[in-house]
Amino acid sequence: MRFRGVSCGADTLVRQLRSRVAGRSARATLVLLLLVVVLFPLPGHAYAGPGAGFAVLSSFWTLFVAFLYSLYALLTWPFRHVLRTLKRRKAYGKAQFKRAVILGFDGMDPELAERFMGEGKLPNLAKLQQQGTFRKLRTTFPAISPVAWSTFMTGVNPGKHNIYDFLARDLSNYLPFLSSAEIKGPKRHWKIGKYSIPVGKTNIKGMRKGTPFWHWLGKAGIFCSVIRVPVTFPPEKFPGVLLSGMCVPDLKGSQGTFCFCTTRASGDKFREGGVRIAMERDGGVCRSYIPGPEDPLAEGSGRELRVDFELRPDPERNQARMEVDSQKFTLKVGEYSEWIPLKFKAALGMGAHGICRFYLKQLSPEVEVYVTPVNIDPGRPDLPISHPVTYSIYLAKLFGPYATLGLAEDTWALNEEVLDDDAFLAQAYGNHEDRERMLFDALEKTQQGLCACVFDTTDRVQHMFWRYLDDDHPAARNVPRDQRPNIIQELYQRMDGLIGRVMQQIDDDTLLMVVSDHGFKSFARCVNLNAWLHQNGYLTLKDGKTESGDWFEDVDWSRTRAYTMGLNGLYLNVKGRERQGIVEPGAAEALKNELRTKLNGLADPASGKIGITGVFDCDAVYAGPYVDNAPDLIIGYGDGFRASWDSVMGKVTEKIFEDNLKAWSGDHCIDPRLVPGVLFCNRKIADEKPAIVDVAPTILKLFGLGLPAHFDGKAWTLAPVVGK
Amino acid sequence: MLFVPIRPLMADFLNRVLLDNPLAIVVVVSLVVGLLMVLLFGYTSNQKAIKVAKDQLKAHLLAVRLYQDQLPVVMRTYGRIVRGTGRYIRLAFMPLLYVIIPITLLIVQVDRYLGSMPMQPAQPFLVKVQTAPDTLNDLSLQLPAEMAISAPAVHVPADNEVVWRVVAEKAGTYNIDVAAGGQTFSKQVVVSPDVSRLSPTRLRDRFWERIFVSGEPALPDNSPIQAIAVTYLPRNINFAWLEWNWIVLFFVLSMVAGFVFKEVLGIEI
Amino acid sequence: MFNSHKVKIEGELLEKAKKCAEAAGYESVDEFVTHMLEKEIKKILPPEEGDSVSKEVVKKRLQGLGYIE
Repeated sequence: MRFRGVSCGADTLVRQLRSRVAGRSARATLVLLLLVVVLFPLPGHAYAGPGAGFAVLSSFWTLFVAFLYSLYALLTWPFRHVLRTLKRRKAYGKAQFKRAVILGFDGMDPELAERFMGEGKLPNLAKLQQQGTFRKLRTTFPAISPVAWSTFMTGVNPGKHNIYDFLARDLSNYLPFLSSAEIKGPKRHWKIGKYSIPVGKTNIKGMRKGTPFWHWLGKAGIFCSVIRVPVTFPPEKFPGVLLSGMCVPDLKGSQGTFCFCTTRASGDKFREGGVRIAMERDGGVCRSYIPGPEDPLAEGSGRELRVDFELRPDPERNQARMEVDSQKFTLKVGEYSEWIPLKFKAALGMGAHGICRFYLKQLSPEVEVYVTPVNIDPGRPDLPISHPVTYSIYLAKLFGPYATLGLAEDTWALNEEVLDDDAFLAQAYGNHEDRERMLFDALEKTQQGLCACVFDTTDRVQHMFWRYLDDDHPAARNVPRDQRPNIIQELYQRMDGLIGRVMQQIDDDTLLMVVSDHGFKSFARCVNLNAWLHQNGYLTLKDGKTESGDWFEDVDWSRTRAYTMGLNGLYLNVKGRERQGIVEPGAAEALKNELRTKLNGLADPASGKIGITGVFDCDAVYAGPYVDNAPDLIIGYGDGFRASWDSVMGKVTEKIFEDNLKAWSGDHCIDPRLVPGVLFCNRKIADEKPAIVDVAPTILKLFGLGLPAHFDGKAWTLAPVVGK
Repeated sequence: MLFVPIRPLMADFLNRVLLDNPLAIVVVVSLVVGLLMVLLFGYTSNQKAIKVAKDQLKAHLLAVRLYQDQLPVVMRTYGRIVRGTGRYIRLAFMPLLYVIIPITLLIVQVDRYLGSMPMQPAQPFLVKVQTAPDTLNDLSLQLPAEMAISAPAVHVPADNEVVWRVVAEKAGTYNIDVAAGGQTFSKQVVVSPDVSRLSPTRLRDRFWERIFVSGEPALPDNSPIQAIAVTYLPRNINFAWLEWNWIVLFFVLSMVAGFVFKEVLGIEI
Repeated sequence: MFNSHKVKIEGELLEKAKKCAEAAGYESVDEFVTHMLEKEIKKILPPEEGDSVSKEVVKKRLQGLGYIE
């Protein structure tokens, strides 16, 4: 009878209550009792209510799924083990190491590393140099991250992997596009009333050719964990895990569009960048919004989805209470929020998931909030940013949300002075710490195989703070030398500390390699090559124009023989190739030689320094099926010079040389011979002049795999370890 | 008794709106309790810690799948899942303590209405009286005019119990009296076709048991009688082609409601 | 690979394609054939709608690249 059951339960409860002797034991008894009640639910025990049910269901479900997974893993393990053993026997049978760990420090400069090591500031790198190898690592033409890392992973020159710059040009209209990936929305739309419903999937096409070496390893049964190596978006399928890096877009489809919300009137004179959003005061509340992607149901209208937010300033405490998308939190002035998940809602239940961080810049006299670019939410990725898709979700669940944008550190906001030095560094190192956590997790999970992780912090921080390292950088002339922070030195020390911690995690059977894709130099002077081409009769503007708009607005293509866009490429306007080309293919070679002769050694009239130290013919530096897509000439700028901000954007100005006044004050998009990367290794490498193209063949060889015939790199010879 | 102030309100609500529809009562109570449960849980729990604990559990589950070829990783991860589950249960139970007590007492009150069906006219039922051994043969049952004893009393010395079979002629709320040791003790009996508030037993002492099963004042401390019980039949509710005990149905529906409300309110459970 | 299809070609042509692929530095004959087809298709078919985008869209996509203003 049911009541008897209840009665028994109540009796038990009474007895338990009566028998309690002390607070702690009573609590323990209650917990025990509740455990009994919820784990063995008789009808009467439903008095415990649904709450207990929630707990039971959630925890039971977790355990149940875990049990199923584990059972599956255990049951199938013998079969998979046999298969894997058969596969691995080939690979690991000849492998010289159980595991290879590659740390990529984007832009780590060998000269700076040597200098800081000499000063005793980088003990772990010095230890690697002492016990193993430290060399300059020859980079690619040009020395740009997407190019160099593509060569790193494929073992081929750019003529075979098809990446020559961040940008490539559209031959039909001279406009640029991102060279690494192409994202196209669904081709078809159904018009229903006011809605235009997309039909089909977003198509993401990777433009990089060639196969990353971890695919070869994976095929041989060697497990690989690959984290944030540039140009790995879209993620490709292979037997391992991979988190995409540089070139992953933000939720708006751009490479990172921050948003600056302010109550300041738009007419006021202040520098701004990104998207400036007005913030409206309404009594004690300020209201604004975060713009998101275009409404998928309003194709072509340009209408953006948005998420509103409210801010209630508390000037006395120098903080504000924020409410975004039903989430409430307090933010102090000069402080970042955590990553806040956002849902940009469209009609019909559609929408996009993103994450962003808020930075409260000031509360008076005006309220100003900086919002990071809205990153793809790694826990609910609307576009694949990892392989398998669950890997990004796994990392998000394990460590919380993290930056997924390819160029996650907002250099643009610092350039535009929306962020100051400290705010930028806080952002950069926040991302860096997330990356470190991922690395150490991958190290723990990949006890055998390959673990490769690229850190961008080195590149971004050097780009933005070289001005303090340079004696006379135009962007830091107003900062007295004794007040200049040691940001870059501290960066190198931080990276050295990371290496130290990694070295503690690895054993003697692990190969550790630290590589960078290029070095760094000052970027003090800008060179507008389009201006030079214009002034020397190779590029012609429409009548009456002395300057062009960006992307060759007002360029008269019918009278233009050469042009430049992007960082190092110079293109001829070839007939039959470019849509309005005029250079006969037969005359191209002569024109290239003429330009090489004139540009090589081009001097800056202000200082007499050489602005261009090398001009390289694409046919001389590239070989492969995709050379047709390469720039005709690669411009090697001298130390202290780089393509001007205008020239990169296809803009013709009157000045050829000018000062670089931006915080972005260091660069590497110069003569590749001047900016080699670094190679540190915990083993002696015999080769005197290693190159980044050699990494892939070396790793394959170390794991006992044969080298594909199309590889350009040569495997290094490692000195045998005594006693091994 | 507890909930005295809300009892008239509840009775009024039940009588006026849902009088003859126990299923509707269960649905409404489940929805309300599901919502209250989620709200109380949300306020009394460490939401951030629960989210982290749940997320980490999910991460470990994914790790088992991602690294399934590496048995040491799978085994280590399984250990983490067990530890993580323990952590989650620890985080969930303290708020559950806050939540369970008021909800349990509320459900006890609802059970007075839905747990059993009132007697029907002409339907025989048992009146059981538990008493001290020395008064076992000294008991008598006094019934109102609308009721009659339909069989002689049965004495069960092993249980110190006397049982009468009684039948009511017509619907109504009656008091039956049991005389013992010169004193008289009454017990309410409801004969009705409607959902009514029922008290299956009247008890002496046994505070906790009274809270759960009795809806009447306690028998006096000096009473020789321990309990007077009336055997109302348990109520079953038809739902989804099955017969349900209301508490089981409530348990299921309130959980469903809770899971829906937690999503709507963004509360981690 | 999903969305991949097989095309039949004569064995002799395949052998020649393999030689060409190797000589030109392609990683595989598949890559060689795909690239050849892409080049020919570009010559014959008009560009697809959406292939060529406006300057405004280009600017939006490149926002935040860092290397450009």
